[in-house]
Amino acid sequence: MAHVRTQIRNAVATRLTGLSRTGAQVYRNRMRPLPSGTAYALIVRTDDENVDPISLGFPALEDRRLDLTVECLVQVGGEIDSELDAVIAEVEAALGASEAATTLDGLVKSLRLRAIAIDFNAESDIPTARALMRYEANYFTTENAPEAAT
Amino acid sequence: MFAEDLDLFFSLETPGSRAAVFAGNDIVVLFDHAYHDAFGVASRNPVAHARESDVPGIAQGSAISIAGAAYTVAALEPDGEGVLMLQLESA
Repeated sequence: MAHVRTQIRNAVATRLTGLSRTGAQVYRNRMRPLPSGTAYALIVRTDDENVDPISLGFPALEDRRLDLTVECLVQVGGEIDSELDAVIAEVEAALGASEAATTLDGLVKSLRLRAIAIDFNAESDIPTARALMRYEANYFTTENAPEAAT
Repeated sequence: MFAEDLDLFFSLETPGSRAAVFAGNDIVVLFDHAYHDAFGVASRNPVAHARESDVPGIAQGSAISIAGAAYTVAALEPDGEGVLMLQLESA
């Protein structure tokens, strides 16, 4: 069993695979550059995490808040800002589609979008745009079992 | 006033020079097409330098062909000495 962080990252990537624009171009914590000609892609990253023990005794129950980023990349001509907005809309719809989606089938108590940051790169031969969609995943574990959400 | 002879630079014998076509006219530009990392997507950053006298009327959105590849002018930066730097996008 993997750490719940890993399970969350994988569950989000699975839910985002197959969207109309980004399709199978969904990556997890990718470090290397994407190949030239990548028009649309998503990268799911798990970042910092706050952990608060909320019970006394052993094992303590931990209230965890994980920062999760969905990086949306668009490299197309034309109205790139509208294309980026369309990718954002697809991600929001997929991760907010139902109670099952917002809890990742019970893995987390909630998965909420907190912020979106936009940036453009005009130096590439095809204009490139990026959106960083910052989600917060709230989940619980016990201190001796970080691989099992409770 | 000192005037540089730009013919010395805009020649196909100059390293980095490329044959180009603008508005149906054959010209020579100095061309760079270096690797560029665009938010983690492998890309190129195509930039050309051209004599202003070779590209009359050039503007953002103009078409230019360099070494057989089609580009659109995304931005122009005149150096004040008769040379334009053209930031290019693939057409």
